[in-house]
Parts: sequence; C-alpha cells; structure tokens
Amino acid sequence: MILNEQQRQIGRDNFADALKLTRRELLPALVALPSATAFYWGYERLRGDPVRAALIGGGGQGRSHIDSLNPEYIRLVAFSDIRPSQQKKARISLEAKYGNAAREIDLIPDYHRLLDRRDIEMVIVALPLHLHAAASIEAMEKGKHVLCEKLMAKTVADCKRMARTAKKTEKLLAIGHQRHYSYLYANALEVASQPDILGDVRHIRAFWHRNQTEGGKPGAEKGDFDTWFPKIPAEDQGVDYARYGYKSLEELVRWRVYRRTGEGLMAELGSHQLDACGILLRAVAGGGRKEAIHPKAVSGVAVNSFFTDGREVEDHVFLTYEYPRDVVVTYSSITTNEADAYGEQVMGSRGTLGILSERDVYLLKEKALKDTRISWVERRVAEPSAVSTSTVQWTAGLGVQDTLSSRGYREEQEHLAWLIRNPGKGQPRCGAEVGLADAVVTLVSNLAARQRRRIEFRPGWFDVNSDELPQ
Amino acid sequence: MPTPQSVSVNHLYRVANSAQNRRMELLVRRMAMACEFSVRLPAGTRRAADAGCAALDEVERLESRLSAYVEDSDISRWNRGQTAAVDPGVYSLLRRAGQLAEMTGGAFDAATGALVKTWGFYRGPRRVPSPSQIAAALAACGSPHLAFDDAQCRIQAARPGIEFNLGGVGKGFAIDRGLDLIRRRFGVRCALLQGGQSSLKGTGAPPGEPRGWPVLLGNRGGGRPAVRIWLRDRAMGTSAADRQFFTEGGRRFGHILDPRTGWPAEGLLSATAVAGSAAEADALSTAFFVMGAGETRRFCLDHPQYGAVLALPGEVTVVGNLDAEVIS
Repeated sequence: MILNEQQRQIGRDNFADALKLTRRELLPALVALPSATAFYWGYERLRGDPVRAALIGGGGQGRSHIDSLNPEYIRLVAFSDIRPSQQKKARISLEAKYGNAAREIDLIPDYHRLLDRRDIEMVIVALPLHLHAAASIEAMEKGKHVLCEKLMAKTVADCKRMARTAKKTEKLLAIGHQRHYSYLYANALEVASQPDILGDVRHIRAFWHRNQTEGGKPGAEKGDFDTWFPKIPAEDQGVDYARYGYKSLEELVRWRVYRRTGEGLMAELGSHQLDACGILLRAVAGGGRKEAIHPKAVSGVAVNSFFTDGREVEDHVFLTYEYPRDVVVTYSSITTNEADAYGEQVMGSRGTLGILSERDVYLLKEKALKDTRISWVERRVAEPSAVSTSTVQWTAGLGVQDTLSSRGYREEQEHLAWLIRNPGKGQPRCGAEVGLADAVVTLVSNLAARQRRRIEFRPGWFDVNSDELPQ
Repeated sequence: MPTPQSVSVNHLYRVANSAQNRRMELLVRRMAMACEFSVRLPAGTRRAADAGCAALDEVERLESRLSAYVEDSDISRWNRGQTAAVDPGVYSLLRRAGQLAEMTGGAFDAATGALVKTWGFYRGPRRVPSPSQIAAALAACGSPHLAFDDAQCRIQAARPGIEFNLGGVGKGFAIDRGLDLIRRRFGVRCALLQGGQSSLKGTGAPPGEPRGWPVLLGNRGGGRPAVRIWLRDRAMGTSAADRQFFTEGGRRFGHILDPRTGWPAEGLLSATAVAGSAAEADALSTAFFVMGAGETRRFCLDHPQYGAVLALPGEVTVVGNLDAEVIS
C-alpha cells in the first residue's frame, strides 16, 4: 500500500480519533488500572499465585514472549533450547527483564525433560513448526496447559490431534495469533463494522512484502541476506542435531526453508493475515456475527524464482481466495521488494481501511483521498462538541496519544494464565478451533499454489471431530 | 453476562456507551481557507460521511471564489477592477457585508483591503504606516462608497482603489452555505460546522442536548473563566488579536483594524458574537472587538437578535441574546 506522506498523515488522522476514543473509553484509565486492559479481552486481574510457566524454544519468537511476560500473571521457571547461541540470547533477554532473579530460571535443553517437571503448569511452545504438535500434545498429556506459536501445526491431521488432546486431557490450548489480542485490530474492526465508513466491501488485498536481496548485492540470491537463511553460529557447531531428530545442522538452524520442518511464507507470514482477513470480513458483514468466515475456494501460484541457495520453500507466493458473497481476498508474499511492507487493505465502495505493519491504520475516503479526514468520535452528553475562540489552541483532545506498543503477545499470555486460574470461565480467543481453521486455510493455500490449481474448502476440514483431511 | 469468547468489541462498546451516557458523532475534517474545517453529525445521520464531505466541498468551492489570496477568485478580479459583476452567491455575501457595515457604523467593514495592505497584514511586511499613509488608505476604504445593483449582481465603487478583504466574514459565509447545502441535498437538519478555531454554526440539537450543540469558549491553555454556549440554529464567531500581531517600538499592534480610525483596535482580549448566521456572527465579532464593551452593550440592546461574550483581563461578560453559562 503505497501512500505519500500527506496521505499517510491524513489516513492516520482519520483513524486516530476513532482509535483514541476506543482506547480512552473502553480502557478507562489504562495506565492507572492494569485490569482494565484485561477487561477488554474478557479477563480480569489475576488473583492468586502467578502461573508457573516454561518456554520451549528460545529463538526470536520465544524471546518476544519473554519480553512480553507480565510477572503478575506468569512466573517463568524454566526454558528450553538445544542451541547454545539461542540459550545465550534467551539468557540476555531474561536478565534484561528480571535482573538477578533471571538466574533462578532453569535451562533444560531437552524439552521432554522440561515437560517432566511437575511444578510447571503452562508451557509456551515456540519451536520449529514440525514440532508444534508433538511438543504440545506431550505437554498436555503431562498435565500442562499450552500456548503454542502459530502455525498450529504442520498438517491438518496434527492440528486435529492437538485439539482432541486438549479436549481429552481437559487442558487449555491457545494458538499464538496475537492479532486476536491486538487493540489496533480491535479498533480497526470497530471502524470496519460501521457501514457508513467503508460502504460495500468486495475485496481485501493482503500482502507481506520483504526485500531479502539487500539491493542485489553479490551473494543475495544465495540467501546471504535472508533472515531465514542465517549463518550457522560457531557455538552451535557442536549441537547433536541427530539426537533431536534433525537431518543436519542446517536444517536445525534454517528450519524455515525446508519442507520437512517448515511451511514457508504462508505459514510464517500469511497465516496471521488470512486470519485477520477472516475477522475483518466478519466485521464488515455485520459486527454481530460470531463465527469466523472461511473462504470457499483458493487458487494460487508459488515459485522459487530468486534464491539459489537450495531452499525448499518458495520465495514468492500469490493467492486468490473466494469468500461467501463472492468477496475476493488476494494475498501475496514476496521477498524481492518491500515498497508495500505488510498489511491488509480493506477496499470498500466508500472508503479504504489500511492496516500496515501491525502499527498504523489508515482510513481513506473514496474519491476524496486527498485530504478529508473522517472519524467516529465519542462525546459525553454535555461535553462540548467544539472548543472555540482564537485565544485557545484548538484540540480535539481529551485523549492520550497512544503508541499501541502492544502487539498482543502479553494479552494472549495473560488471558491463558487467567483462564488457568479460573477454570470454566471461557476459552482463549484463539483456541484450538480458530487455530485449526487458520492452519487449514494456510496449508491448503500452499497445496493450491504449489500445484497451481483451484481447491474448494470442505467443511469437514475445519471440523475438529471430522477425520476429513485436505489432500 | 456473555462468556469472554463471545464478548465482541461492539458489545463492550455498547455497554460503555449506555453506561456513561455517551454519543457517537461522525467528524469529517479538511483544510480550507488556511484552517481546518470540520463537520460533526450525530450517529444515525443518513449518509453522514457523504454529507460531511459535500459540506466541505462547498466550503472549498467558495474559497476559490472568495479568497483574496486566490488570483482568479471573483474577489481578486473585482479588486483588480477587472469586473464589476460577481457570482450571485458572492454578491449576496458582499451585499450582506455592506449592510453589516452600515448597521455597525463602520466598526465592521469588508471594503477595507487598502487599510489591511497598508499595515502589511495582507502579505507583509507588517509595519506601522505613517499618518499620511493611513489617511490615504482610509480614503480608499468604506462600504458607503459602493453602489450595489441587486438585479445585475454588480458592485460599482465611487472611488478608486477600493478592495474587499473578506477575512472577517468569509469563513462564516462558507459555513452557512455548507449547512444549507447538506440540508437541501441530504436532508441534514442537525450538524455542527466549524471553520478554524473561531467560527461555528450548529443546526438542530444532537441527541441528549435539547439546548443545541454545546461549545466551550475558553482561554488559551484551558484556564478559567470559560463560557459554555449552546448553539441551536445559531452561529458564533470570535475575534481576538493575540495571535496575529507585531510589535514595534515596544508597542503591540493587533491585526484587527478599526476602519473608522485606521488603527488597530484595542481594549478587549476577545469578542464573540452569536447570531442566526455564521457570516453575521463573524462580521459582528470583528465589530464588537473594534467597538469595545460599552458600545457592544448598546448595540445588543438596539439589536436584540444578537448576543456577545466579551473577554477582558480576568473577566468575561455575557451580553444580549444567547444561551450561555459562565464557568468560573
């Protein structure tokens, strides 16, 4: 979504008031009252001891979880990683967060051993994709509640096994689609559900565009600049990868580029956004609908047209989704150009809602794109509609400008911890069924794009209790 | 109480709304006439976004006709002596401005372009003119020297050099026209249109506000005293000189000039006028600022359709016909 600076400012301003009022009014005294945040997502301040939790996987995603932990809800007691380089980085994150107290957090490299610990109530699984199901199922069978990173699992069959294990063991299973806990998205949905603003929405364009070529420097096509293709750290050379089921050290470190361990761009990037498109379409169809909207069919193209480093996953994928009412969502994820960055562009007959980089929301009025700012504002009865006089600095503002720093990691962790302490009082916002649906869309997308064909989704695929699986 | 899973943002929103007696309004804003114009419409207004945009389109259209800063506007062409005839809409404004000049005894006058230029308040540089320069400028000012031809929409000046500067009335006129347009085209009878910080008109009364649109008239920084004014089919305009001024020889010269003397008006911190139309309110606020407290009081007694709020250091006075409360 390419906007000039003026359009960005206007689009941001258009949205800012709606944002401001939602946060201001729905999260009363956010700063003073931490439980207000929780209220918004359907939980409360945690009473009783913080949940004793462990982190399995200290890579980038695992460290994001460390940074987000709220000690009032969760006490991290152990973590696991088999790579010394990642252990060291996780330690640094832990010390930055807990200071000296970080030393009390045990490092247990082998996650099976970690799961044997009886005192651990909850685990966060941030392992390579192919291990999500195995680790989550083992954890639940060993009596732990699970927050598993997305994608839920590498196959639909695995997802269904996870969901059924959660039911059988009566453990909570949450999948880490943090957009379900993002204020930015919640507020965008609020705006999207106002028919006057966007009009009739027939198309969403979602995209995640990165440039991993570093401007075509020598070696770029060999993956030298791709974050998915990192150099093998010297300290990891001695890891006994075979003991943990990896075929090579490369597969362990660069698991995202191999078909056995990862599912490529759709799993790592696309799944979040298709999930978001489903929620957005539900919002524009009328805020009252509870059930997610699933696509009816998908067709696509996936190619590996740039990198020559021997990767098995594609570097460009393009998909077209047919939704009910013939609404069409397109998605592209590419690695050779980043002008668009990443986001979702909801295109209505009256306006465009653009959500960019989980950070900015732009609202642009159709045919008046240049400089009209439109927003919903809220006013208490008897509160002035306007402040007037040339002796006053006019401000719309009663609200506090927020940075929207939370991407939702903290809230998804807190909610799960609260549910553990309050059994029977609900389910995670992204539980097994939502996670399964998302995995179905993602994995079938890969199937369609790799085979370059159109696939119609079958209801049984989305049904935890059905044994029907996509081929 | 729904389960957390089923609590939608909308639901929470409605709870918060009803519990705290809040109202949603659509706010549509755009830059025009070198300031921000905004339209507020209560939730539930049909085609609110389209109506808001249409009102602002009208403001923008008028700017291209009224501004002395737009080279080929009707006003610029008339000022250059290129034409005596103007667009009927523009004519009606100039005609009304002429009447207001007469009504205020020249305390407000739109035909004072020469004086504004002499002081450098048009495009600078700002400077204190010599008495002879002021006299020369005053000779080229004043609505009494204009002859209006209603049938032809022509305005003839009896003296050379007369120029309009609609700074004191143009915004208000655009507000009136914007509201007229959305009433005719969209059936909107309840809206608040604001131009810049000082000109507003409210039509109808939004839900929960039987007295009309509440507006806070305040001091810079929110200090007190302040005045709350309700606008129901009424408009307000405020004039003050604390933003546009310059200092020379240790003395401060504000941009509101007294057309009767040729010198900046002094005495009040600000003057607010409340009237049936925003154009009148705009013009009268300038007049009141120029007149000062005593003369404004007398004016409001003679013209009971108008009201005023006058700010003096540490004190505000509410005069005449308006719905207002002082918050002290």
